[in-house]
Amino acid sequence: MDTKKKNILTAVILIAVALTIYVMAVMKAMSQ
Amino acid sequence: MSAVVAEHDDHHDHHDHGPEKGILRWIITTNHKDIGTLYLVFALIMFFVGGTMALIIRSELFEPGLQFVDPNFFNSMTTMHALVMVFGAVMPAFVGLANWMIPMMIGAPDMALPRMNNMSFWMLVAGVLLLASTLFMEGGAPAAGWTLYPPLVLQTGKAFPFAIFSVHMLGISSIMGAINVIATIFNMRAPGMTLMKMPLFVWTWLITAFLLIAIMPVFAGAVTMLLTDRFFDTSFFDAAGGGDPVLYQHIFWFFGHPEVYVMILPTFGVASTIIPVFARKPLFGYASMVYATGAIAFLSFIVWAHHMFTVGLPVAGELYFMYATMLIAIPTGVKVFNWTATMWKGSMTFETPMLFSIAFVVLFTMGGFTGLMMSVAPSDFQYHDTYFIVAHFHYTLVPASIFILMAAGYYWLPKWTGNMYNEKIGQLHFWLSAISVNILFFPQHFLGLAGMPRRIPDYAIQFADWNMVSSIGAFIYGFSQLLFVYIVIDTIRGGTGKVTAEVWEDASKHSLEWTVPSPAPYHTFTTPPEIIPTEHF
Repeated sequence: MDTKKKNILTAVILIAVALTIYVMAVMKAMSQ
Repeated sequence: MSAVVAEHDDHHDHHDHGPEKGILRWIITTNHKDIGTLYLVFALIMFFVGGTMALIIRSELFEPGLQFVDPNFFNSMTTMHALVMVFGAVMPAFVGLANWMIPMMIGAPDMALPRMNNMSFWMLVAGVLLLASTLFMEGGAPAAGWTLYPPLVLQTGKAFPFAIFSVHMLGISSIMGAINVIATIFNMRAPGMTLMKMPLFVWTWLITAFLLIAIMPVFAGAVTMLLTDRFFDTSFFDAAGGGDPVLYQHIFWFFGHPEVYVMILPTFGVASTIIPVFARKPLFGYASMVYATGAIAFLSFIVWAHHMFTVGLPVAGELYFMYATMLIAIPTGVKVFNWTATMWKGSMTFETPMLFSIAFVVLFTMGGFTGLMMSVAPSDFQYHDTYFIVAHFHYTLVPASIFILMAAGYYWLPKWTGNMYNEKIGQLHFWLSAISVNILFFPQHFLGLAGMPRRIPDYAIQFADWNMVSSIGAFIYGFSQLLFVYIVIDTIRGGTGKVTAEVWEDASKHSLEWTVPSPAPYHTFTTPPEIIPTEHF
């Protein structure tokens, strides 16, 4: 895989991680 | 890496292209050095905006009684000073350093995602300007402290949704910056630049970037819930509706404590970069520095409730958070030991960057020790919400993060501009800062131990003397920072003369940026470097 594709894939994975953490934080608060 | 170089090879007309002309260069730039400069200049401006707010606070506290501002505006000042300094000055300054230095330190031609780099900077500007605009809205700027605790923060006037939106923008900007740092370090290192050969500054930023991605969404979630509590009749933090205001504190500090390390880990990285150069020795304990940084980052996620000892936690919870917090002293102690051991028997010289770095080691350790005092849960009941806390965290942020940012400025300014700064004025700046910062913050320990609460515009008469001393220190410290602005402008205009590529003696043995000419060309490492220096030789 060339570097440009690797960079974009890294960004997509990290954005997905950030969104998941955001949703989990709110879900956890709703379940309290 | 190779693909990026190949792409340049395919387009020969791109080889020597310089920056755009005029103002457009700074708006549409995707060059890591330009964006680094934008971040650093913006952070310096915000440092003075936040500093002006601090001087308003210290003017009001110069003597007991209400002198200059009304109490609500005073509370807005404490809140905005913190938000501007954290999100507008310290964090952007380190992102600026990351932009300038990480590609040059790892032998990469630029950051991995240059367009996103531009977008994260301009989103930061928009976020900070939106936050600043709340000062002029009906009801004033947020005044509940930078923690934005409900229910108090829900009483904010028209500014409330704008402040929340600005926090979201700042969060998105930080996450985009962090993604760029991770992608750059993972994918763009020069051949031979293994992870354990990277300069400590790059390591600490890599770990900081992961911290940012983990915590900023949590903060965004917390403030979104504040928004829905205010406008959409939810009751996340409203006891009357079945919610719990303490829940907000748990969520906020799950973000807030690692956030503190977002500001301090790159500080450690810069100190670990500067001290070996001026001690003329390799960094002592490189691997242990890397592991200690990782350990501090891990521990930052499991200690949040030490900010909340007085809310009524179960005793088992207080004991756990007390002991977990104390553990942080171990990896931090490793670092302080290693910096000291690096200097031990070194051929030291004391140029301005080294002076600021040594002051950082001494004064940050003092801030660390008061942190250890506060980790003792029963004692914290005495310290909580007093000026002792204010003294503690300012010792870890001003003579630590700010001093190291100044050290970084002096250290890399010759590389950025090609000119040497005025050493005499640099040393004057250092001594004025080092003395006045202690006049400013040390008395606040006494005030806190005597029971003076934080975030108040008026106080009992017995606190008058030390408050006056603290305010005098604040004005000396604040105005002496203008020397730095003078030095930066003077150095850009020519300073005391041209410098070599290496600038500092044998610096090129430590890190790659000293192998390129000074000033650093607009494009560096379009072909990867062949020799990989390391801080541990």
